[in-house]
Amino acid sequence: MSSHSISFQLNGESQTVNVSPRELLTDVLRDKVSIKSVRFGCEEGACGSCTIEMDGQTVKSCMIPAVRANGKSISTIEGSDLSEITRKVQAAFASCHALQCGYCTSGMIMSAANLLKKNSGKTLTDDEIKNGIAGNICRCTGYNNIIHAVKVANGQAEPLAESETTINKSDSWIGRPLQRREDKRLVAGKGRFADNYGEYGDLHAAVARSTKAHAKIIKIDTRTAEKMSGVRRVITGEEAKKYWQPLAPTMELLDLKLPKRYALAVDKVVFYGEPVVLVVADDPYIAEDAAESIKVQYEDLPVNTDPTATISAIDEPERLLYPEWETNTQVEVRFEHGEVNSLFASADLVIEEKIGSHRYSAMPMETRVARADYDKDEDHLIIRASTQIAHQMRMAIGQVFGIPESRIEVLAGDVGGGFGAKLSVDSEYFAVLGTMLCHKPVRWNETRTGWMHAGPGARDYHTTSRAAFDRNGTVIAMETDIVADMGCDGAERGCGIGMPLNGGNYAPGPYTIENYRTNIRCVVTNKGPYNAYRGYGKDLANMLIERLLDQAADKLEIDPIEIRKRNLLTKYPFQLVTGPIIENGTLRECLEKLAKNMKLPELRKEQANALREGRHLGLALVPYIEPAGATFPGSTSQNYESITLRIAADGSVHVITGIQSLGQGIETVYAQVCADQLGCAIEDVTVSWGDTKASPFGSGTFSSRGAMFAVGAIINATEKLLPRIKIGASVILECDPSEVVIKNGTISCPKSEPALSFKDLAFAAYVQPGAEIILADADGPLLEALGVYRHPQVNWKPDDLGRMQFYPAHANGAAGALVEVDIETGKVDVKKIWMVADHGVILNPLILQGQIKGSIVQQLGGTIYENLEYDDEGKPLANTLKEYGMPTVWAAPEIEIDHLVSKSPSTSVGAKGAGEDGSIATSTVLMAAVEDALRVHNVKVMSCPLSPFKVKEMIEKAME
Amino acid sequence: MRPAPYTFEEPTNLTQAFANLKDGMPIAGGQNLMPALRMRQIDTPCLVSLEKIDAFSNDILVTVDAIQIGALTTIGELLNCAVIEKEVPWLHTAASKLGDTQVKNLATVVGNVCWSDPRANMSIALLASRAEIKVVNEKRLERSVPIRDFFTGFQENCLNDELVGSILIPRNSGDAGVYDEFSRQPNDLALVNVCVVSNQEGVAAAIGGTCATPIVVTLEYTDNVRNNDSILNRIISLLENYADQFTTDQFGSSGYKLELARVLLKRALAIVGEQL
Repeated sequence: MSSHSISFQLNGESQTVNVSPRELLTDVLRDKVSIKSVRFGCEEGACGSCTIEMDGQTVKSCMIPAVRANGKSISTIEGSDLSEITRKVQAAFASCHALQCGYCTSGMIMSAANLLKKNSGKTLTDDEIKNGIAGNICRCTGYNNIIHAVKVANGQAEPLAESETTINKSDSWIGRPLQRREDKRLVAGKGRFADNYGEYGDLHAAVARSTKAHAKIIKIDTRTAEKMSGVRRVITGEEAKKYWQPLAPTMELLDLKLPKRYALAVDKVVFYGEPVVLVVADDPYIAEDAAESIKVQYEDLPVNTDPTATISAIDEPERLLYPEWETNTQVEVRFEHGEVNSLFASADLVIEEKIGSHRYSAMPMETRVARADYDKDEDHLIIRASTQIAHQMRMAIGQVFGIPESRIEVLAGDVGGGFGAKLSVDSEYFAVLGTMLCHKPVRWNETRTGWMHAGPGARDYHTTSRAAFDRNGTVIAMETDIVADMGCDGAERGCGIGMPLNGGNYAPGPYTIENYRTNIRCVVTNKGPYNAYRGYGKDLANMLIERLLDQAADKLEIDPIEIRKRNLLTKYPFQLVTGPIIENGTLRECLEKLAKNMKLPELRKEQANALREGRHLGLALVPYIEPAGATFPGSTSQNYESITLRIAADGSVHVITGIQSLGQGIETVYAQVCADQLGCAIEDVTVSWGDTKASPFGSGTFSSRGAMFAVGAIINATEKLLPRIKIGASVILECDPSEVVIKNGTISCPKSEPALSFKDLAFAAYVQPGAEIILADADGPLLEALGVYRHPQVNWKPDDLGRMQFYPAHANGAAGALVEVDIETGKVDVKKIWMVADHGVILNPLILQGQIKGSIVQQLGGTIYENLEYDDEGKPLANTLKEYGMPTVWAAPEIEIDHLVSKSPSTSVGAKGAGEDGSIATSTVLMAAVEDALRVHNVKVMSCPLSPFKVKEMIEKAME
Repeated sequence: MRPAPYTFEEPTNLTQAFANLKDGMPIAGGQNLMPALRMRQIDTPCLVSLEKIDAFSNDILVTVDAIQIGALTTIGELLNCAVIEKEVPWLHTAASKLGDTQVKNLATVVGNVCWSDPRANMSIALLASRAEIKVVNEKRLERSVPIRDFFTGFQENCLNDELVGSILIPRNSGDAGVYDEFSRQPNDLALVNVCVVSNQEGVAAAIGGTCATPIVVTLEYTDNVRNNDSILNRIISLLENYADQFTTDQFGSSGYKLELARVLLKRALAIVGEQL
């Protein structure tokens, strides 16, 4: 193919490069001139992560053949010649917590800055700002803070964060809305994302994917691919069996069945998009050409797309995904306690509904990415990956390839969003197999279409749920029958299988329901894999009980808040009938505060007035609990986290953790905790993560556990080091260790002057005069400690009823919503979401609120817009972000958050887990609010999505 | 995903362009084409850039009779044109709702029409404006195609080894008009879009998203057709003639799309009535 020499101005400097006609400008910028701030998030020009300025106009560089950049002037965020406006926008993004993972941030800032440049000095409305940034998708923030940041940059609003340098240092760092440390690099486009470590000359992996949802593989023809110039290796599933073992499961608990599939299909395919042949080539274009040329002959098998029907496949062997199971049910769990049948028979009121949710996905802006580099001589493997679980990934790769873990390094820098979807190892194996076969570094970048077809799906719950009430509205018994669609699997390629189990386990909610039965069936169908997603079934639990309570309130003519108060737990700790123990909280108080914050009487009046004009407003309130810190026997989710705390000879303090940064602000929050607990200066603390060689073994990031587990481990380590510091200081200061005071980086004794700095003390311990003098009486000579935290409220020993405590902490709150439904089109407009949340002691309110806002808009997206739908042949209907329905800035409603605080009894700081509020309560409260809006037409809203088409169907059905 | 191989040509005149196009495909802004190439939904041995062709420009020319939109005029440039905003505000609205800022900066008006997606904002607004498409062939012979004859199928049009040189909108295209669309989120793909334009003779309504090609219905004003309800009813009954061609997809059934069209037309006609 001919090559073109092109010249362009890049950030004020001339560049000349050779490009082939089909090369995308994004690729050329990233790989040929090292501009890593432009990133791929999709194939269709929807996400805007690749936004640059070309001749003064913002454009998506992935939608431009690089050859067209010839003669153009290009600006990216790396430019040293950035305009003052761009610098202001960067600063405002940091001071408003307008970014989390940072993957979309460069593009978002380019768009925001361009908007301000074109409207210099003009005050902008929210709609004008939204219009300016609608071409940039952010999955983390929920957009509210981004809009605020644009206003701050434009001089229309005040920043939300405090900076380390302006806070009075005699105060505690914990509880301050400190600006994030992560943001300095992320707003400059310098995020350390996995693919940024790719080098020119790396090989690239691509896969040929199944075009059938369920079929036998008859024949694979790879001849054309093998002959292509630049192709290094083509390998089928059958051939690859020589080099690897089946996928390493994330969960192997209860009596769940595992498919024991390989990363490349062998003999048959079980979902559309399943990888069939791996290609390794000199560049990603050739790799795709080769993958596309591979011809696979299939013999069709019957396709299962209906999760209920798949259960009966037991009599039809051809419909079984894994015939050796002799069923399509991956696991079935039952629990029963109390007099369920008789109470239903004698109840004043029984409500029974089919409640459920469709399938959607975590959809982080960065897909799954891995770069693997195997050194054959050293027998050493280094993998850069986008993962939530570096240590578990190492374990999985070790198992699958038979390499000792001590010879594997997993490195994860910044991760462009995870939300549970990066808790398993699946396609990352391709980079490893590639490098082991080709002896060169191999990069694997999952395409967005690849994620749509073969990436992790979630939710997809189908239930029949019942509750029995007395005439006062008290729930006397409850029953849930849950069928969850695992797609091809929920425990190997993903670990979503726990979601419906949580749904059944927590469905009685924070209510005094003593008689309960649940039957949960996790079934496989010919759809893509099923993985964890923020909320992890606690969303389902909330939906089941709260929707039933609303129906009962309606029937019994009891106020919806009142019926909840009549059933809410009355004292803490409270044990659910299924076993979990809610340690403390403010469920009742949050609900009351929410009602007050929403100004309910005024809203009801507004609603009545609107209805007279033919407008349908709806409002709803629901309480929620947020079980946090999951631990499961037989899984990689263990009940501990660890950190290394190291004070170097210069007094600098290093916290190294196995918790992974995904944008949740750990680099900042752990520094706040460490500075407070150790008494060092916050600027002396460095927090690092994502390095299996450097950090002690940890469980990684999931289930909102960092604020308890990592914080607990930091405290544990400081408790080990503080006595040593005090002994060392007492020798130098000639006082008693008990007299030593450590605060803000100063180690002092009231009786003797001058005080010591951490540097003075550390140098004294390491060198002069040395540990044998100043630490002779201490329990050790090192200023380094391993901190470990085990949550005391976990209990894996079953009681007489087989009940355990997997979730040690329960944050709680209440969510409210105001919506307007256009009954002619079925469109739902979410006008406002309120939340009152109690997460115990707040470590950093700015970051906590950022997590809550982000989770609200994510779940709102899933509830209304997003959909991973399949046709009857098991072919996915969504191929792109637009078809999928990814929420843009227009989807973000106004959000108001308030807090109550009930200190956690289990860590000395008193924080509980946080970050899933919106994921748990938003679907429920939106369903209830839409139902409220349509009450005049007797519409019941029992399932998602609340897409215009489906809502219109609900309205028409009710009006028939 | 990334495109399959192609060569890239940048002809400077039409003769070269048509020579290159023998086994190639034209690219203007590329905002529909590039996603399709990247997803490997289409494949071409050669991309022929229209950017440097001397006969093509991005100018918007205003003459006594017509407003002429150039072959390379972008959506962003259309939005910045005061005459368009003043005389064809429904086209301006349609442009403002098309894609996002980055897309508007590259996508061209002519490209949006030529892609021939039945929901293309420009097509719908231009159909109701009774625009003429100026088409040029290898021999530099120009012909003029009324836009309502332009679309022949889903992403198919009547171009036959030809290129669109410009689009003409008559100066008196309407006394009042409204473009509106129904999409899940603003700046998103429209599920259904409509444009209603009224002039001395009558009313023209274009409806997109319901069938493989846009639908245009026109009504002449008579004494019987003066109030909105009767106009709406007449338009809907004309639209229902196409009911067997309505498509169903994951975003809505054919019946739902007809209902959306009815709602959008009703709302648009109400505003047009006020404007008159």
